[in-house]
Amino acid sequence: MSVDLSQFHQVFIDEAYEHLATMENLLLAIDLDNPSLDDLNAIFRAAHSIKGGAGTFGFTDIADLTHALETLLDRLRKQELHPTDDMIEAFLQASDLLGTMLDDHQQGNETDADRIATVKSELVRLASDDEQPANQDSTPTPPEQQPPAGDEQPPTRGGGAWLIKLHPATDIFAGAASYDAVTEDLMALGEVEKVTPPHDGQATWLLHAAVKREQLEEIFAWVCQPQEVTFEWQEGDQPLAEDNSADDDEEAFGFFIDESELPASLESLEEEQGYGFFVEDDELPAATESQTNEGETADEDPGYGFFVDEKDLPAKEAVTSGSKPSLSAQNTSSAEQTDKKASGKPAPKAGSQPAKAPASKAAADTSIRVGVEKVDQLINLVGELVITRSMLAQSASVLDPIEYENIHNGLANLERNSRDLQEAVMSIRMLPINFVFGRFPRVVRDLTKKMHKKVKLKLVGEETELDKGLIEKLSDPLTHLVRNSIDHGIESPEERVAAGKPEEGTITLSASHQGGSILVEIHDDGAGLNREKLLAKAEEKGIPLSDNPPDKEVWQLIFAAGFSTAKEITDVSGRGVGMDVVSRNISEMKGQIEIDSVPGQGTRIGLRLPLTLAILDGMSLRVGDEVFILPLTRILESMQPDKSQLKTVSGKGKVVHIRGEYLPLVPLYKVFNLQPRFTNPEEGILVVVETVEGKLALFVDELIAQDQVVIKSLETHYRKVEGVSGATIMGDGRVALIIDIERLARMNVV
Amino acid sequence: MNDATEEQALVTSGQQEFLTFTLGEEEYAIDILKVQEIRGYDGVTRIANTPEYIKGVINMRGVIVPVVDMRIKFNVGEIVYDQFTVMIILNLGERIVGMVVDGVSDVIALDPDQIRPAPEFGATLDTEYLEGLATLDKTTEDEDERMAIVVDIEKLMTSSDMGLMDQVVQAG
Repeated sequence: MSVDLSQFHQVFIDEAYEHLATMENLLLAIDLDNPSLDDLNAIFRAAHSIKGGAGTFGFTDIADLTHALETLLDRLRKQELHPTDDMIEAFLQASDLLGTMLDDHQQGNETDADRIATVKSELVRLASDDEQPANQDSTPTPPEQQPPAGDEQPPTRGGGAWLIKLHPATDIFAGAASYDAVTEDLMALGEVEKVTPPHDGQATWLLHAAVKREQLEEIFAWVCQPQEVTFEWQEGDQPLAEDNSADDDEEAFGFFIDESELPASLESLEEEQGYGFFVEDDELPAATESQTNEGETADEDPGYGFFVDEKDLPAKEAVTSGSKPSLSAQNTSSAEQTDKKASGKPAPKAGSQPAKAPASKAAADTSIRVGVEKVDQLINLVGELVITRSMLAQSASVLDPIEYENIHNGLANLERNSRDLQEAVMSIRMLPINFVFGRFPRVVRDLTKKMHKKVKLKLVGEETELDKGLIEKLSDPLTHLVRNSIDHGIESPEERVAAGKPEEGTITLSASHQGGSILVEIHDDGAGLNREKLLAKAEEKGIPLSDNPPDKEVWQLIFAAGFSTAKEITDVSGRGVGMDVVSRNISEMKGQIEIDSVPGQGTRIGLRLPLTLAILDGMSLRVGDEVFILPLTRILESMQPDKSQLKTVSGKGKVVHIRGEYLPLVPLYKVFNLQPRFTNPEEGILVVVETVEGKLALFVDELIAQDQVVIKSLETHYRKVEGVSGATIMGDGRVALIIDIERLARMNVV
Repeated sequence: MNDATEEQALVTSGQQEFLTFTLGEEEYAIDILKVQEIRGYDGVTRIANTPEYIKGVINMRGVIVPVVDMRIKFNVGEIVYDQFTVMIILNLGERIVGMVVDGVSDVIALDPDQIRPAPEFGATLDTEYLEGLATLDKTTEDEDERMAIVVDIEKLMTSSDMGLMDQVVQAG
């Protein structure tokens, strides 16, 4: 494709992913016994949009596959076929494949042609799974091979008029054809009103005569190409002004518009801009659809356009309707219906559809796609603003509050506004958690099928918003937890029945805001964790535990690496890796994991996460001249030790004795090689922090304040620094490093 | 000759502008397009366990940027930090780095043929990072002819010698 188009590839790919996600969600929601036509249409639209985009951007393989998909969907939504489990499976496979193909296109790889062929042939097979031969599948023609039912009706009632619009590419009246001659020809048929005089070959007439369309076509066949003229039958005294909306589309869609041009069909046409021929037939009333066919026919051999007359078309109708008997009947009747009513009104079938289309259009218009870097830059700038403000406030604090009242008021206003601005900017990065939750219906469906279990998935609080960065990181651990719940938590249907529980298990995924954090819970009504089993396994693995550990401690065992109580390793779980990954990911996100379990009633795993990765609740502390930030969530307590609490372990440095525990004492000045104010722990402060490796007592000079700090990466322009997870900018504009406690614990500086 | 043709001559001759700075006795020239700004030395946060010449990081309008003292790195000049200490902020593609030098002297335009290949020795910097030597025009009659060492600053700053970035795999 040309270079010009390639800049839109990313947009197409992004959109295609969204359509795929929509499609998948809808597919999973389909009730096989009683499929909702709306849903089928929505799936069809998603597939169709992908096809349209793929075609435009030259991704022919994607267009091909979506075409096959569309063919089958088309038959489903027309209720020619009944959806089956096989079909849903095939659709899901196709949507997976499309995802892979999109990935491949993005990375410039080739997609496995065999896989495409397999999926496609399955779709084709399903689509042709009845008396209907699947002849459309191989051809690039759109599936809208509808019989041109009912477009031949001559307007027999009086009082109407033909609106004739001529819009040729060249000024035809400058050549052989004469405007007057055409007008004269028309006058032979009836009363003619010259609506717009000829200009550049364009002209409009209103012919007050109930003549057949063919008669008009005959006249204009001598004048111009068939697609350069449109005929609209107007009922009664319809004012011309109402057709202004149609004018915009005239150029591109001229030949799709005919006497039955309805308000509804127009909307659909507007929606379809850019897709030209691929007009979705159920968004249009049958009559317009048939016009599509007529237009195509005319387009194929423009030279003979004027031979298309009433002898020709019914023949064609017979041919096409022969191949699709049921449809033909349906469409004919709906077309007739349209006809009998005043043709200014939409057919009932079409009525419901356009109502949806403008809504989705409106939604598309109210959101914009912006690169994450731009948002991050905005966040940076707002952060700067906040820092500048606090610098100003610091300078102004020495001014007399009465004399400089205005300055103080102004600064107070600035503070309020900048805080609002910061919140607003932060909210741009927030996405509903549905972006993660949305994939689980599929995961659950696939897994339950594989493991012959019955599980119902409930999603609660899908609209809860959290930072985009967190959403991405949350997806892996949640998948592990859900898999685990299905594999280990929910029992087999037989076991469940025996235990007096409903055959179908329930997994609830919920998300909610709690204070400054977000709580994501996975709750299953399965067997619960088995305390004895876990303890036995812990003993086997040699994991040290106190004599009678509390439940909470036992439950945490499942997160230990290599810990699995599954009797056998399945391809779903049992290797003891998953939960380890969960705990790592969550702690990377500065989150915490809570587990509750009641034997026989189920397990609840709660993930408590900060709202955003960009802001950290921290404690600022001083060592020498430098300021450091410690994540607040990790701080257990701070204290000033007395001499009796400090012990020296030979060769291992100092330990501090706090309430029966001996904690290693880590002097921060040694870790960061600084000149401290105090080298004696008794003079400074000890901050007890919790790490995966155990508790530590950090020895610092003093605690400064509790702050919310904006996390900045050191790696953008520098590199990773041992013991430091990032940096932030303090109120005075200086950089402070954020301490990575886990690294610190492993650095083992004593 | 009017201005337009003169300008054209400059473009076609491939003349490039350089910023010159001093380090000890030597005068260095770097591509001016790599220079983002020049500012004073202030508010540097130390980073532990780094070589002496990495002074730490500063806040450049919300971006955290490392600062290197070239005087320490190349062991020239007098290491003092006062209000006259200058820092050249370099923009090297995706990276921003601050560089402390003895002083910033001039902006000069050089023809490619004015830059002669550097001998294998004689400069504080490894020849690998040198583009060549350039003779500078005299500004006043009584001045000696000056020489500037043209440095490929991007190559220098991104090298493993400087230790400014995580080296993924050392090629070769």
